[in-house]
Amino acid sequence: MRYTTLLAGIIGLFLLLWGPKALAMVTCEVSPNYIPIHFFYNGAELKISGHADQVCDYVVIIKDEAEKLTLRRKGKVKGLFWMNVGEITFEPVPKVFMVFSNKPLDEILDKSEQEQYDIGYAALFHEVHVEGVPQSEREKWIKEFIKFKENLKLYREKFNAIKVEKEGSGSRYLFDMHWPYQAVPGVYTATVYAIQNDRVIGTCTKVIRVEKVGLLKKITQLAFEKPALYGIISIVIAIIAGVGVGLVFGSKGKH
Amino acid sequence: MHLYLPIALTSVNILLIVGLGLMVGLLSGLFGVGGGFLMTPLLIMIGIPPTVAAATDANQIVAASSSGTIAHWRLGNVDFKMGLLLLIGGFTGGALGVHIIKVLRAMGNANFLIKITYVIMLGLVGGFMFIESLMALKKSKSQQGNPVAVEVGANPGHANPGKKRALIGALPFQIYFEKSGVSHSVIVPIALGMLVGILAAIMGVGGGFLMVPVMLYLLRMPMHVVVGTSLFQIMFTCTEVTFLQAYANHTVDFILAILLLLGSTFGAQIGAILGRRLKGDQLKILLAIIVLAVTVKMLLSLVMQPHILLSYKGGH
Repeated sequence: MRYTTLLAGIIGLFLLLWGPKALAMVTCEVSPNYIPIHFFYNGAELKISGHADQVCDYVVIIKDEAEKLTLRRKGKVKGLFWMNVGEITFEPVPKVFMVFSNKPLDEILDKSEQEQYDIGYAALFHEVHVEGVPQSEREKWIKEFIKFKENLKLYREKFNAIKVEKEGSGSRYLFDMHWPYQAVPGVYTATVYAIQNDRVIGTCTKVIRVEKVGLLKKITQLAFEKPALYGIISIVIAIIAGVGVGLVFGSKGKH
Repeated sequence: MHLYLPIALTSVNILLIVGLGLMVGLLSGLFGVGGGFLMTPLLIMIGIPPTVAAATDANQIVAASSSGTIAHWRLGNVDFKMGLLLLIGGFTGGALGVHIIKVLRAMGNANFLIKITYVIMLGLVGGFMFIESLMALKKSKSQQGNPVAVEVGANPGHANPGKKRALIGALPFQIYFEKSGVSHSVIVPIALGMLVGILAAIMGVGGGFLMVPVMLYLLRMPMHVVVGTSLFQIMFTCTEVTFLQAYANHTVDFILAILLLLGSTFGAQIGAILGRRLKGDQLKILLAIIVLAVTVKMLLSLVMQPHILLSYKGGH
């Protein structure tokens, strides 16, 4: 027993001295980390900042839980017409995936590290299964998927976005971004990776909560919990509006 | 100014949506079509998910068509008797169409056939309406001062009334439709309504575009009555669609519908007033031009490579 403890202690000391990297202490702050969705919501301005006790490069990844997503796929029919020809499934993919850094990823981080931490598009899609198309077309459809998501402002890869300043023996980072209104309510994580010599030397994760509030929340609850009532209300309001405007115009026309 | 939509889960520019409603409502009041062919793709283009776009459009059409129906009813342009018979047929046809499309899909490559048939049909209907109303307009010009010629223009005056008409005339349950000034067997509008219902369900469209020419050329109703009666029917079909979509799919966005109907209810009134100033053939030729423009747009979108090859499921 005593030998085992001693052995573990020696291995621990060995790892500490000759291990892959001395870990950095990284702090992070997302402001605001709660985004309420009200009637006039049109996205939000986010500020992500913090520091590390070493001089290093930074990558920030914002994403949510990965899921299975089935989309419609357009293709050429009879060599002339473009139309929906079938479905395509990507799994697992997050709804939102944003990558920000202070330098191009490949310049600061080793490919294997990118893959290990899912940093960047290439790493994210390394493990994604694509169903519904031949394997030979996998790359083409992954590119299309990224284009589709970027068009919705849900995926982003922006290098040179983070400002880094030296601060004593460490460094401070800061960047602002517009949180897109297209990102649906949910829980997202922002993870900051401190990078030195092609390796991740420290991380810090914060949660961003996006939520419908007030009347918007009530309307959604009604639509999902009492759909029949919701349908009837929608119809009654439409008829009242239509008949109301019809009558107002009609009475004006008579004068 | 932006407003967030609780079901579509996106933010939209208020003025843009009200403006869209106004424009499509105008077409609705003028021509008796729901305008889904225009509204649904425009909503998808500004970022509304396809399923929500189609369902919410149905909800706002309830408002636009009830506004338009009232305007046309005041002008004496709604044939309730004909409208109800077409509705009975339409509802039955819609239910049948949903089953037919399942069979077609199972046979494979149905989407291609449906889309091409739709484009060809729109092109034929638009082309025929265009030529027919152009000829009628020329004819009425040459016979100026004779108001009857204009009304006859609404009746395409088929060259061979012959056997088919005699056969239809021999069907039982003949009744006279005072508003439209035509006599038909009850079976005819029900059967035609059913046909339009089936086609509309298969093609995933509201059917206004098909119903207007059917009333005009097969039921021989005058153009102004066609517009009013078509709106009356659309009001019912869209009520049914709104309820089913809200109940089964939770895809009706009530806030988006309100923004749209703020524009479309007024648009429908303006359309009805404008329509009153135009002759039946002038209305028909305008509608024909729009149908042809939609055909060309659909053809172009079929032939040109889209910018993005993926899309969310649902919608037209």
